[in-house]
Amino acid sequence: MKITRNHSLLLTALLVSCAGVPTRTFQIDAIDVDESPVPCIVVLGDDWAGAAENNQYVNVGGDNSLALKVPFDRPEVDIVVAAVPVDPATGKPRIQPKSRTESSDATGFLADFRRVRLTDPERNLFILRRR
Amino acid sequence: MANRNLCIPLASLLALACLPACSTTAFKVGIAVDPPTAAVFVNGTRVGQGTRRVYDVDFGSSERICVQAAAPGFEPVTELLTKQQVQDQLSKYGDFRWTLKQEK
Repeated sequence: MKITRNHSLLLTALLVSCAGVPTRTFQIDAIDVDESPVPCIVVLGDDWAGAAENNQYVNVGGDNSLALKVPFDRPEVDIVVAAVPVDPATGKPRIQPKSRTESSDATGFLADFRRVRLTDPERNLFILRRR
Repeated sequence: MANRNLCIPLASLLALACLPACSTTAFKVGIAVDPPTAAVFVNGTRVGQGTRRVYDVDFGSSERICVQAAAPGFEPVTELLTKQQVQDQLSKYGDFRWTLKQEK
């Protein structure tokens, strides 16, 4: 049987889909330069809506870290950690920022960013500074 | 045939010679940060302050380590370093030395 180019492409696609996208769980934490915890939203790539939907928050409702499952569909994935204003009455984010600028305007903190690899250390600390 | 016979032991010797360099994951790394009151973090864990100190840094199964420094009133520094970068720094320049910039 003659293997055409289309067959080869199909076979490659099948192999890739069988292998799946590798994932890694990172522990994310955020502090300021005084080492105090900062309530933040943790965004994968540029998916701000997805981050809010999936409740990807750290230090909201207490000093904690976030276990973030990161799919590596490419060698490096961007993680943005941006401060969120928290309502003291409810302990929940007052707004869900949709950009770094929106986060900075609401909190006075500059968002931190890191390009992570599959083989990076598990714990990722983000240090935010004031604008 | 004689050449082939020689090649196998030579390759084994080379592989053995490479082993320590390839398998080393732990390093003694000197870190000094100005201001000396700065907090120093390795892989997200606070390990000490800015005053020069030698830290045991283990890559384990990671390809990079993350070294950070922060102090009130200064811009924090974050460096993701490969094993090669750590080895080069240690052999060519010695300690890692950072001077944090004052916040504007």
